[in-house]
Amino acid sequence: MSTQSAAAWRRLRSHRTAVIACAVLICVALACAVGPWIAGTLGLDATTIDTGFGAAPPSPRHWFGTDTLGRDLLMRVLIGGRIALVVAVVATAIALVIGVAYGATAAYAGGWIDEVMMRVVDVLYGVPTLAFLVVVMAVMETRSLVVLFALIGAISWLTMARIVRGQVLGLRGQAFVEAARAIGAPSARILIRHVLPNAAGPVIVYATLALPGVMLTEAFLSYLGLGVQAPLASWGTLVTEGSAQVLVYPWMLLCPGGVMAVTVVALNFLGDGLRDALEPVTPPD
Amino acid sequence: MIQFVAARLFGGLGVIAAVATVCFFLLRAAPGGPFDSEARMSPEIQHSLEERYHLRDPLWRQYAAYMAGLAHGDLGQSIKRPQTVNELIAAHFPVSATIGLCALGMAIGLGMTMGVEAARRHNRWPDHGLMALALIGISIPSFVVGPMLVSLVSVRLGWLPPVRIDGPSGYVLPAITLGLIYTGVIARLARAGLLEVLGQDFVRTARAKGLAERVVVWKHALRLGVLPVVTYLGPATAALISGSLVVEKVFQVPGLGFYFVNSIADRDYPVLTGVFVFYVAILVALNLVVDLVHSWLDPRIAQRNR
Amino acid sequence: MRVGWLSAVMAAACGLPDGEFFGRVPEVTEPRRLRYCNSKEPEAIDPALATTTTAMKITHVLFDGLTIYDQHGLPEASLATGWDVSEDLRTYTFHLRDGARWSNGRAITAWDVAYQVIRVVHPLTASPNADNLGTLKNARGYLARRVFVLRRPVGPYPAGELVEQADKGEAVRVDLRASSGPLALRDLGAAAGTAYAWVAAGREVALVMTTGGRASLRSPDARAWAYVFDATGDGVYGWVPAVELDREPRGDVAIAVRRVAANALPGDRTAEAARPVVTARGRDLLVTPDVLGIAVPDARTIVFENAEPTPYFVGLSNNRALRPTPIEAVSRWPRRWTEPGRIVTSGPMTLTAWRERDAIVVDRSATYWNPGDVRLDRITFFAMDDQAAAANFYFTGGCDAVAANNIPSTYLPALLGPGGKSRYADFRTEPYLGIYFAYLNTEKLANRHLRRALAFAVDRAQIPRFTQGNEIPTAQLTPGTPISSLDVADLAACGVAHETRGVALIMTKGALCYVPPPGLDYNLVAAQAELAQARVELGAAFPTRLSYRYNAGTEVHKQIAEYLQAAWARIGLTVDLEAQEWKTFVADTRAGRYELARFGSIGNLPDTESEFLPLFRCGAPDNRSRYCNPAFEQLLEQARPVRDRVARNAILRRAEQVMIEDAPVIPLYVYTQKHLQKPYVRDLASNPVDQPPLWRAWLDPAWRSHR
Repeated sequence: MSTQSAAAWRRLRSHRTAVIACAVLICVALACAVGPWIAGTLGLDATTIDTGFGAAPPSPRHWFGTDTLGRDLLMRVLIGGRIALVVAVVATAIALVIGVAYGATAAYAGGWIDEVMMRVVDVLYGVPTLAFLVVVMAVMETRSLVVLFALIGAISWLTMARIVRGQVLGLRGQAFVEAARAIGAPSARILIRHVLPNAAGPVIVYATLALPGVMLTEAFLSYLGLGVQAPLASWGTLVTEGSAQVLVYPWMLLCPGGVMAVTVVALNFLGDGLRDALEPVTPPD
Repeated sequence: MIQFVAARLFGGLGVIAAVATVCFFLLRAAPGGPFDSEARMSPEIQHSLEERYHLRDPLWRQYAAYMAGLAHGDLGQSIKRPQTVNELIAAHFPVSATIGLCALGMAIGLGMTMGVEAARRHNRWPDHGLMALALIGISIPSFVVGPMLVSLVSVRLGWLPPVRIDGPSGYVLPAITLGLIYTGVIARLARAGLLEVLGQDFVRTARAKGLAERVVVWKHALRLGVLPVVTYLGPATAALISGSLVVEKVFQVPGLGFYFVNSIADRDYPVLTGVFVFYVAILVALNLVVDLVHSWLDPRIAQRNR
Repeated sequence: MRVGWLSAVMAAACGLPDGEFFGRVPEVTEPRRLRYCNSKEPEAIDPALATTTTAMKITHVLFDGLTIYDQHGLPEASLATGWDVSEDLRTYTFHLRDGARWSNGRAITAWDVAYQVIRVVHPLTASPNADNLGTLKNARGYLARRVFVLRRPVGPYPAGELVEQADKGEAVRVDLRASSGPLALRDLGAAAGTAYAWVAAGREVALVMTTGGRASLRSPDARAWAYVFDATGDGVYGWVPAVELDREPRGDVAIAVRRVAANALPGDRTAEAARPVVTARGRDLLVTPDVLGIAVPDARTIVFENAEPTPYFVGLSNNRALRPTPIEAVSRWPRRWTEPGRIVTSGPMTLTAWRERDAIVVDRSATYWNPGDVRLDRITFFAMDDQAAAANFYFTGGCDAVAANNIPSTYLPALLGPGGKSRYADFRTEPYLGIYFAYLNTEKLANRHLRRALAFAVDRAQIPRFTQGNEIPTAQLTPGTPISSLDVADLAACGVAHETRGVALIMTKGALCYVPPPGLDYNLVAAQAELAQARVELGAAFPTRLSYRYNAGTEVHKQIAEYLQAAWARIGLTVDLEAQEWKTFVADTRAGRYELARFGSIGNLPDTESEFLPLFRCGAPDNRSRYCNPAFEQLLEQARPVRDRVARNAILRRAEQVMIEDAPVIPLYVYTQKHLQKPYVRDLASNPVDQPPLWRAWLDPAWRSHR
């Protein structure tokens, strides 16, 4: 590991909020991934309907209470978390791939190609992407998850492209790149094997910072009825259901909303920590 | 300067035309038309309605007619409602704009204060605390905040009205719901911008000259430190005043955002395109204003633009 | 202080507050003003265009009708003082009262009623309510522009004969006219100088009617006047002297026509031989409302002629399609005449303000014929798109009543305590004239025993636990009120004992009642027996799996689907569930592309012959179950000429029995309406069609002492 990375790692570890945030995220992810499976062996699940009577508040039997059909809310939140996290990660990954490819190509090509490509990014920045996304989702009427991933990713790559371009521009002039060129290595190879790994730092930071935005976008789409469709549920759909019932059953909003908020906050803190670790701000004297 | 403004306006018109074109074709490419869901309508009636709205004309002619109207500022006639799109916007935009401006006021006032205080007490507890608050504000979506506020403040405690705006008190909860995220973002941007500036030479010079800390920060540093906030304000204001779907649903205010989603389901092409174009036009105008404010705040930028 | 704040927060965290009423009950400061939380913004308040109950609530306070909806949802004489019914139940003569006026002072006449009828069935209006007038003679043909009057003899037909377009092609626009000079569109009999619209020479207009027809206005001077439509812009109607329309653009077009069949039944081939097809030219044919079954002998009388015996026509007379609209306003602004400042109303209230998606305000009308009946000075209809928001607004005392069914279904378990009894004194449920059922496709599931087995296997008593709105489980097709809740007079009219299970449909309060046959209720033994029979009959063709479709979107449909799936699994049938998007679902079920599917039906008026039984007629477009039983058809035909309603109901009951025994449908429950209404609101009726006379309600400031 280079000394730069080592120094960054050290800074990150000493950044208390980032460490706590990381721990929280790992807990949430683990709970969502393994929790329902464990609970299943104990006989709890998210789909047993008990029309006994309406929604029940949190109790020792149901830690998050139940919804109006008697389904255990904690289980629903954990399973919803799987979808929410998967959507967030995959969509961000798609944004990452598009952004990196675009930005690196633009920077490496240089000249007028770079100019044109960045102009396009500038114009796209001006387009109200969320509104556009709503229009496209509503018009398309297919509600498959894959389409959802692709579309959310498609609106989130702009900043990534700019960051990557900036990094690649900076690295292009460095010695090791010149050396690789001198020995005749093809451009793509140089790009992938030498330049990008060194640009990884900021890319990781912005990916982490993009995750919460993607998660909130998915939640917003679900609020409009355009996101994840029944029978799948995500935090967005649970929160939407809960927000319509907050007068009567507040835990139906507070529990999934709380978990989602905690996750998003943790992601933001972690992203902040990563960014501070990689690009420390000089304090004023 | 004039050339700069003119160039930007020209570019803006191009963006508007492009958005209108994309919307136009995208919507008509979608399956289904405005009258398909009327199960009881005989084909005769459907035919004559489609003729009335020129939906049976060749596509290029519809497009040409629409763009010609657009050039005159006429956004067309709604298919599902008797009003023209201009009338709809004129009736509902003021509501969205007022709520948006209230939210903007809160976001700027509260956000700037938080950001400046955090920057001044960098790396001490107030900094961490305020930034944590800002981060939490960004992380909670408006459709969680809104219903919670209504449930708590309006329904349980009865301090503010839960829906509708029948007087100044009706603006409070919608403005908070809408503005919370922007407050957080502005706080963080202000802090970051200010920190960067506070480390610069001219600030050290000002301090060395013996000026009071308050003057240094608010009068000299902030002028440049606020630049990231100003850049952000362009798109932020556009988004705020063009109507929020969440606020309109939770608080039942007749704003403009409603037409985004509902006219898609209705396939009311002129309304959707018109509202979208209107939003982009506001965005372009605000971005231009932002750039001008930028040049004013930072003379170096103005020189570059000349 | 601090404790109070803390307990407020705690209360905020734990469910609905206790109390006698749901939310705050404010003091009544304006006892003659009602604030009503309506549902979505109405699509239109024009009686020709309003279709949702939300819009109709407003339409019905602004526009009077021959009859109106009374407390029970049944017709009550209003513009009409009385009516005569012919022996064959086809012809209805209504007598209008004196003294009824529009809000602009003009008297309301029988021609205003005729104008509305013509307007609703005219294709240019594109009224979705035209179906409500489908029983009138030639209404459907007129709507399709396929019925004409011969202006001169053609072939064996004399002038004045009613003919229809014989080929299946598109209708030809023989109603188009043009003028060699400009046309000044104006009010009937007015001078050209008062014209509000001009049509250039040679421009085509559509001729709607001329003066002197059976149901058209009389000419005020010696000459004939024509009412035309110019399609420029938003469109405009107007009167011009008939002589000015001297060009007929489609005069030379050839059209194959034949005489209109006089009440021939569908499929009756004998009538066709007596109606030879001839070729006429456009100028030989006249499109005129004279072909319709309406006549206005004088200003106070209107006569309706139905194509077939229609005993329920009086039940239709309060429908919005028959409520007169002001020709002077509609002509000038066909699409926008209902705006404040332009609108002219006839009902107890007039339109004061309309703020879109915000509120509609109506105030007491100075010209209503029955001012003593109006207890309110103002009604404010709030447009509440979101049910939770409406509930919140009601809770904080912002509105006095919430429109039925605008309460979130998720609140219902909290509003209804255990046992289905309401927890709050201001919340109640009432039956609604609608039924939720499952269709069985009789073409795909042709074996009667199999269908009966599916019907017997369902224990519908458990279903209200999902729907959570006190719905009334029923195995009878026709919805109604539970017999156990009927009063003595209604029980006598229905001829049943109080303990009888099931529902009954009250057609006239205390007088006429229809008790549907009991249907195939839950009986596991019978289900097994039928299933065994089906297996024997079908042998190898017995289906291994069946599929049940429902429309996605509401959780309720899914739960009921799962419940039915489990019920059928208990008798050994595997049923797969399939969710579909609404529009596709509607299209697929209509085309018969399904095996089992959920559906529902809401009635416009309490008459099963017009609202529910037609769903099972051979060849009916809404016959999703594809049911076709000659015995059923024959019984309906038998009932048709019967004048005595009680005897008629008896025959209809036998028909329904035949149908339900064949199990093309499994009724599940009768819908209910959920009402929230402050305790100080009085006389705000709720009726099974959800159209209460709102102006009869009032607010009682001293409600506490009157309890």
